[in-house]
This record gives sequence, C-alpha cells and structure tokens, in this order.
Amino acid sequence: MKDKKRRFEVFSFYDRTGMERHLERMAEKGWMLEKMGAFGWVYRKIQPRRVRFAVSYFPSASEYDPDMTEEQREFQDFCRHTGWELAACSGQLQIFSNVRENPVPIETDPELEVENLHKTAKKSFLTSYFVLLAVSAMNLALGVSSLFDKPLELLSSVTDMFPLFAWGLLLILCAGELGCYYHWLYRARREAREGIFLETRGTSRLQRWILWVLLVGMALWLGSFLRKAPSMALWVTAVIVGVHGLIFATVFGLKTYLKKRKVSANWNRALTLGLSFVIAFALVAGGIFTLIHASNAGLFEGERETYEYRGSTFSVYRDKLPLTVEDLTAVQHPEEYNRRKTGDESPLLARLTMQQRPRLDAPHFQELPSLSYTVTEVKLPWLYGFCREQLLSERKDQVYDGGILVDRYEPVDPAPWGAEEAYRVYWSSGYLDKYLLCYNRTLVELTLDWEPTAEQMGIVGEKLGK
Amino acid sequence: MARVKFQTLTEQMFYILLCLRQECCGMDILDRVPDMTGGRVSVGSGTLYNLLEQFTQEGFIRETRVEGRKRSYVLTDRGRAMLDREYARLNAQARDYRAIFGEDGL
Repeated sequence: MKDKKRRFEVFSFYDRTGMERHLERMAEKGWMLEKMGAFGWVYRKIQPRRVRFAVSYFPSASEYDPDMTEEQREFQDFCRHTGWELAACSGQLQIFSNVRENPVPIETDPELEVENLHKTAKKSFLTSYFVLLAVSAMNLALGVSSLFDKPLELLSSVTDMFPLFAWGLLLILCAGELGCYYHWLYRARREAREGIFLETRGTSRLQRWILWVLLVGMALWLGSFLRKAPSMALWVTAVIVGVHGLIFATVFGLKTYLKKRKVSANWNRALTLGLSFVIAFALVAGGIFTLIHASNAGLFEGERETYEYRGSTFSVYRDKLPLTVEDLTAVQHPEEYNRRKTGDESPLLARLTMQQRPRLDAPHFQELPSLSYTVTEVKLPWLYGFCREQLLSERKDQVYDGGILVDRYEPVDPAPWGAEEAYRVYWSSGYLDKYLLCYNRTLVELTLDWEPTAEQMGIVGEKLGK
Repeated sequence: MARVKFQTLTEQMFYILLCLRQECCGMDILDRVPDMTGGRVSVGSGTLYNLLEQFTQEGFIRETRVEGRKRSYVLTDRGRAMLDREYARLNAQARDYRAIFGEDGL
C-alpha cells in the first residue's frame, strides 16, 4: 500500500480556516501533510488521529529565498516550544501541526493576526491578482469591442470566442478572489476589535468551477478545430501543451536552480521574472509564427484538386451544399461548377457561407448562373432578435457630398419564400437580387444573379428554411 | 474604529512587558506569562514573535543578547513608562469601580 500521496489542492491564499479543516480531516483519515509544492501537496501515511493544524503567514519570507531565514527558524522555535511542529511551508505560508489536546493557539491576538495576514497578502497575492485583473479586463474590453464590429462572425466562431471566454473567466476569478478577500478583511478587522477571530471563507468552489468551465471551453475549442482541420487540431494542441510546458519548466527550473545556487531572493525574483517574460514571449510568438506558416504552406489541408486556366492554378471545391443551382434551374453540366462551403459554428450560432460558381475553364462561364448564400442558424432563441437586427442594420443608406446613396433592405412578401419575414435589397435606384429571409431559427442572406420565380422561392424555403 | 497602536495595552502586551522587567528570551516569556497569571493568560507563539518585533521598533524593549537563534530582551525606560501609564489606567478603572460598588464590590 502506498505510504505517500499527492493531491492538487485549491485554496485561496488567505483561507486559513479552509486549509486547517481540510488538513484535520486528512489526518483523521490517516494522511499527514508533508510538503507543499508546485506539483501539489504531498501527504504521508500515518495512524488516523486527531491533529490540530494552524496556518501562519510570515510576511518577510519569499518563495525565492534560497533557504529558510534565521527569523523564520526563530519563529518556528517559538512554535515548537508550544507543541506546534512545522508540517510544511511554501514561501510565506507556514503550516504547523500539534498533537496536544488543547494547545495554546499560535495566534492569540486577532487584531495582530489580521494585520499580519494583510501585510503578507499585500506582498504576495494581492499584487498578482490586481495585475491579472487589469490585464484580463483590458483583454476582455478589446474582445467586446470586436463583438460590436463583427458580432455574428465572433459569436459563431469558437476560436474567436475562446480567448474572450478565458479572459472573462480570469476576470471573474480575480474579482471573486479580491472581493471575497476584502469583504473578509473588513469584517475580520471589525470582529478583531471585539477580540474575535473571524473564520475565513475562500473561493475554492469558484476556482474549481472556473477550472472545469475552462476545460470544457478548451475541449469545445479543440473540437471545432477537429471538425474543420483534424491535423491542425493536433498541431494546435501540441503547440499549446508544448509552449505551456516549456514556460512552466523554465520558470520553475530557473527558480529552483537559482535557489540551489544560493542566489539572493531579490536577484532570483528579478532574473526568473525577466527571463520568464522573454522566454514566454519568444515561445508564444514562435508557436503562432510556426502555425501560421504551416497553415499558409497548406500543411493542414492535405492534397487538393486543382485546374489550370490561362497559366494560373485554381482550386476545385466539391463541398456538399444544401441548395444548389441545379435545384433551382436546369444545369446541363454540373461538373463545371465549384461548390464551396466556409464558415464556423459555436454553441450559440452556426454561420456558413455557401457558394456555387462556374469554374473559369467552363465554356461561356460568364453566362452560367451562380448562387451564394449565408445561413445563420441561431441556436439560442434569445439571440434571434439580435442577429436579425444586426443583419438588417448591415445595409445602411450612405450620405455623401450632396446626396444619399440608398442601400437598404425593403420588406417584401415572405409567403412565396415560406418565411416569416423577407427583405430585398434596394440599392441606388432599383432592387438587387439580394434577399434576407427570416425563418424560425435561421436567417438566410441570399444572392442570385437572376430574379427568382415563385416556384424557385418555394424551393429555397424548402431547402434552407428551418 | 481601530484602536490607536499602543495607546493602551492588551492583557497579553501588558504581561509580556512585565516579564521583561528581567532579561529573558521569547521562550521564557511563553512559559512565564501563564505562570504569572495562574494560567488565565497565555500568549501564542506567533503573537509573541510579532509583539517582540513591534515593541523593539517602538523602543519599549531592547535586544540584549543573541545566542544562535535565541534572542534575549529587556524593558527600556520607554517601555517602563508605557507600563506605568497602563497601570495608572487600570488603577483608575478600579477606583471608579469602587466608587460605584464600594470596596467589596457589593
């Protein structure tokens, strides 16, 4: 039977009550904390028993210290004198255990204890969390601004939404952690003046929830790659895992190496942070550069059929389209067409653009009819109105010196299309064969190069209307 | 409202300073305070460590000897004055109590 085990524990830095209770429960189950590190907390097997734990904060300590300082050792001597043995420590966090029945607590003055914890927090986690809060808010603001520019493209692309989603989660995490900490601090100071130690309530649940949501988001993100370009998904995954692994290994390895070489905490911090920043930037930039070049070189696309026309090479697309020119009109040579489907899909929207155009090498290709349409499938009903308004607002009259260029959707009879609403583009001084068709769940932007008959309208509704 | 630092002393602060009438180290204080008060008052090791640091910064005590990690301290005149002020305050409280309830507290 194993006599050691490692667990990844999630606690707020200041959640002494949570940590103490958890460790007491672990000891009752026969597991005693032995070490806290970057790769989790290590426990060793003991006889199950009641052990008291106390989490203590030592503000002047640092995770970059090459050794425990003399002051820290003196503090631990004091604790040992009253039965508190150091179980494990990590930076400013020290965890003591005591097997005595009613030991004198390490902290007996609540006001001093709260101020000591706050002094430690200011030197460590508060700075990091405020920086992360600012960075995530800035990135989220940039993402939201793109939501105003091209909302439907953003909402239908998991790839574009994922960074926004991840920054949003980080913002919630930081705001939650800081909010809970300051709320606790305010109440703890008030209670301490009455001689009461206020228990802490950390954000472990929130942190775990965010971690799971992030993992689900990542799975969806990679899933969207798998659907579009399976080999690219594998490369993206490999680059993400590789880059993060290298960054982590660099930061952790360098910090540990400098500690072993007994480099002072200040130098270690400066060197580790400086080099980590440079390496992280280089690795991320290198990873993105490699992916873009590999993608441009066609590494992820595989072999594609091509044809030559007047000395140039063109791709042949044979995607399956829900509505084709052949459905609407007689076509003698369907093989003379390129059929291409592009677009993206997310849990909110699917937005796919289908184009069927004659190949350039087809005889009299200018005379052959062509078709293009974008189908926006709204998966969440409450988004439908927003999407419809967005599409209607994309065509706007343009004012120029001395006049107005009319460019708008004019309502037309939706019945022949089998739609709930139908609009036709009125541009300059006449109608174009461009339509916006609103069905129950889908919005179709259709462009034809001829005026459709009622029968053709019916076929469009039958094929695309949902 | 927050208590102004060291305007008055808590019981723990009072007994730590009292112990330092004679030179002693931190661990001696941890033992002496409960002895002195019949177990009524105990000082936690973390609390003592922080208070010794703050008292030294305020000039209430001074470091006298360092043997390895064992540091000894003694009360200064400023510390003694602080103790005297606290003693006078406690006496005033006791006097006021007696003025209301009499000598026997009845």
